[in-house]
Amino acid sequence: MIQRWTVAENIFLPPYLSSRRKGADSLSMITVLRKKTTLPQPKKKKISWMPYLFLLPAMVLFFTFDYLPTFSAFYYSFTEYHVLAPPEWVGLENYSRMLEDEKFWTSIQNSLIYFIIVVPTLVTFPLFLAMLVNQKLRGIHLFRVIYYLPVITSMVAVAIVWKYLYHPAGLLNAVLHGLGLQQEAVNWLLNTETALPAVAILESWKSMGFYMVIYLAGLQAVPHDLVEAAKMDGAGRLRVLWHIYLPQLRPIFAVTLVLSTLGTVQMFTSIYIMTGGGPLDSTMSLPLYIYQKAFVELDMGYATAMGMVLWLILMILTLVNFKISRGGQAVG
Amino acid sequence: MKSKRSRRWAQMAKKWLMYLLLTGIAAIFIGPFLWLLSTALKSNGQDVFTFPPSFIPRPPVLDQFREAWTVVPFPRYLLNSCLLIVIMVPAHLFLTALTAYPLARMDFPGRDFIFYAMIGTMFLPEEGKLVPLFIIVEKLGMVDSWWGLIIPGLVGGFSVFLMRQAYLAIPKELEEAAIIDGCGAFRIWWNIMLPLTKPTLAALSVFSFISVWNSFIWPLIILKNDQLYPLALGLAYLAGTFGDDVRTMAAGTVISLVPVILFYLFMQRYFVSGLQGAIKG
Repeated sequence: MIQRWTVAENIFLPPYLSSRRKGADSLSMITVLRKKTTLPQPKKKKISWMPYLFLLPAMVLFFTFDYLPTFSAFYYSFTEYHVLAPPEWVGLENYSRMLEDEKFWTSIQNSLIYFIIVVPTLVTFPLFLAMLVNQKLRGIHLFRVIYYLPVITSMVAVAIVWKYLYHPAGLLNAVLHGLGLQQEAVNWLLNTETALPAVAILESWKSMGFYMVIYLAGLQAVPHDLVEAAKMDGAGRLRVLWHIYLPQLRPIFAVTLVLSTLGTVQMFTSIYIMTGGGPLDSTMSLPLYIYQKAFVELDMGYATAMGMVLWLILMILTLVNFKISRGGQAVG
Repeated sequence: MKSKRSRRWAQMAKKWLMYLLLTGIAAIFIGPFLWLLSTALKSNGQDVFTFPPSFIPRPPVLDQFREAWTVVPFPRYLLNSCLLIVIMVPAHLFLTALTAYPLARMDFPGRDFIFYAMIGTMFLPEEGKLVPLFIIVEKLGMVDSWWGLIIPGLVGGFSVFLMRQAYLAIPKELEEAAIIDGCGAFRIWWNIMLPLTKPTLAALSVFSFISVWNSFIWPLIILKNDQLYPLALGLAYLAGTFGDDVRTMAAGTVISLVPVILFYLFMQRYFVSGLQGAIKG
């Protein structure tokens, strides 16, 4: 069990986080893997260049398009750069400019509200879905497929669809009116109060199925004996859920919490298509603002500096989330 | 006797209630797509925004699809996306398979460092590096061309990780026999190892297909010439100019969704195996 989840963390969390575990399961696993992979070496005197030949193309690509941009981001964030002229060193000016940039703070505040709406939804509701589709019922497979459908479609396409659903004469208003819940049609995406929740709902709807599948894998990994034993002892459904499933699912909660948090902070496409950040910046997110600064206004130095801040926020959130979910485990 | 029967009734009722609940939730997920399809099929005479909302197009017409196909450059975008898939998915699979092989099956100095450096890229900040990545691609003269679209997306840490897991599961006796037979490393990899990793290759091709088909932000940043746009970007571009023409947009969106949904329905078992491979290792 433990090893299984260690691997999951290796995928979803930075390696330096997963190696922090006291037991260092991941390390022991690597040793096992290494033993497994050692090949008989007939010629021991010289190092074979063969593996490097295999690795060379990927190493060049990873270096050029992953590490080089990351490192140069530090440099560009201290410069003023407008593409046509070479970058000019300005020290901390970009960062101090951010402190007075109202739009920057608005977008941070919006991200916080997105977080408050989307993350709790994506941590709880998909678990409910996963339990529903984990039943042994005829045709249950079809429901899994349907619930997962929005995940594989492009955000551009679904954002266009939802834009029409939110239209003043669209489906949502029609349904609300029909149920007698509302007198006048609301222009959901042009109202500063409703635009942000509207985008957040689309965003949750789209990735619900993804988290459902993660929870489903978690549910199916819960040992049957545990559940059976609890039932034998006369535990009802709720108690089995509370005392067996939830504690067993704790590592999965950590994964969904971290992934959904990272997802909300990086929201871009849905906002770009549905509102463009408006009305009055009420839906603006930091990635969208960075995009506008860099590629509409060509203010690349400042945009890179904001990118560094965004990265810092992501790192802190990941660490905090991780601490919370780990802390819970230590107590429980 | 009586209690037995009533218990059976209760069970039946429970089962049907469960199906009702499942279907209700399914409506939430599939409803927007159905509405889109019905809108795309409605004729100009039928109001799209009505109360009560009507889902049935009377009569269903294909005019909008014809318009989306001829008036706006949809076939062009569709062709672009197909070409990108044909180029990028095999290239991605080849490079990933090539890279992960020595990381899993050979012993050499620096192997673990290289492996961690590669999967570590999954955690480099996408937004933090977007602007500098654009600057690098621009300096390489690949902006506003497919080179800039294809080359930076050819490798990924997650794929290398998944592929390495697949190699690790293969018993080493096979390889040893081939070495004794005097096979070279490339031949062992291509003839013996690759065929044994087919399930993972299938899962990877599924992920790769979906991500290429849906890619939006990077094409948006580096492509200026709208003749080069892949489908998702083309769709977004049209939503800006044709946004008021709900029917044509709906038809275009349906066209963009059909291939990926069909692909998903045919390949779903690889989605599950791929995700399970990711979670269970």
